[in-house]
Amino acid sequence: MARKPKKSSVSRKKPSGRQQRAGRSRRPLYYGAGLLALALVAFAVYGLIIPKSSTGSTPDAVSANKTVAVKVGAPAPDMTFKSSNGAERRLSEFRGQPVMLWLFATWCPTCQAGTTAVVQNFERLRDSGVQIIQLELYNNLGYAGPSVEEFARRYAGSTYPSAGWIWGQASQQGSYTYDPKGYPDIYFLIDKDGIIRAINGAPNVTMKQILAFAQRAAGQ
Amino acid sequence: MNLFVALGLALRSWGHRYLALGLFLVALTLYLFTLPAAYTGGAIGLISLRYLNAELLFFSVALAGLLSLVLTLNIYAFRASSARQGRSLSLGAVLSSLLPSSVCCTSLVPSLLAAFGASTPQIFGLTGRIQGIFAYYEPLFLAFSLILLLFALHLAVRNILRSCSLTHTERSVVSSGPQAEEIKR
Repeated sequence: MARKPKKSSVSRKKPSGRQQRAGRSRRPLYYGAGLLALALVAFAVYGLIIPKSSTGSTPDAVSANKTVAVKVGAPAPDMTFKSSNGAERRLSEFRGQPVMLWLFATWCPTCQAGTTAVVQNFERLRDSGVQIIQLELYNNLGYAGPSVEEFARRYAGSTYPSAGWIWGQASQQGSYTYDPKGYPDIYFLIDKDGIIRAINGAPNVTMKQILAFAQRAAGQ
Repeated sequence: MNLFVALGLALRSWGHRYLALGLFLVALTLYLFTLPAAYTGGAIGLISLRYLNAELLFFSVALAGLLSLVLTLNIYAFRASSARQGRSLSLGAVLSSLLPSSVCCTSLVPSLLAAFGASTPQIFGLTGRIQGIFAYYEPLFLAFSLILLLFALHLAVRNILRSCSLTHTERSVVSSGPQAEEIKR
């Protein structure tokens, strides 16, 4: 006699009302993480709006709006900066020797890695006669970080202080002129005639370009 | 424990095992090359590997491992015709893990600000505030991504186990008892 197959004791169950309620109650939690990501975007947008209403038109801001051509092949505009020993200096003082003018923010990891790379190649650059001028951007680009001296001691090591590597703080006007878009890591290779030959960032990635410039400078 | 039951179900077939392994390798490569971008000014390439430290290596492996498991479990659940959960979490985790390396110290934020019409003084007051936060709190962002992925994994596991509609007692029977074959049929 054929036996009727026994119905499996394990059957598909519909979620109970309690489970459905639990699922619904947890739903906001699922979106919480997404909201946090949105908050990050909102933070950026908020930051965009606030300064527009609070920043006045200061003389410096006005002067920054006057466009000075800082581009490859153009003469490097003069700028002032305060060196780490407190002296007020000008970029034009270095006319006659190749210069690597590097503007940076002390909180920037790329700048830390870049400084380490320059340390490794410092002797070659110095022997080629390249003067390195590494300047903290005005107001450190709006975010606090270690001071220039602390940064230099930590990342430049034994090369700080050296005659061939000047550290300091760029003036507001100098920062605005050379880095109007506020890149945290930007350098300018300026030849002995004061002409900008290259603009780039992250020396640890673009060291070949810097060394080629140094080699050309040494050959001149 | 539920994780192992769900993984046991999902990785029963070689196809899903290869899928998980493939996804892990792809995700690991992505993270190994992109996480150190904060040290290279956004440049991604072999130079990135030079800046891998223990912390970034840990996060690369952990994030890739979790991401591959979450995706595999979700694909398994999808094939089993059940709704996928945690997709947005996984996407959020990937995005938040890549944020610090892509935002900090690259030209992205300054260019965006300039595109929005911010003037130089405004950019100088803002760029650092945005990028500096990502630079300083990168480990927290990565840890947050890890938590998101863990949560997404939890959802995927729960999803698979619920789709089977098994109670806890029944699951233990499935995993050990003689009724396992009958249930599979």
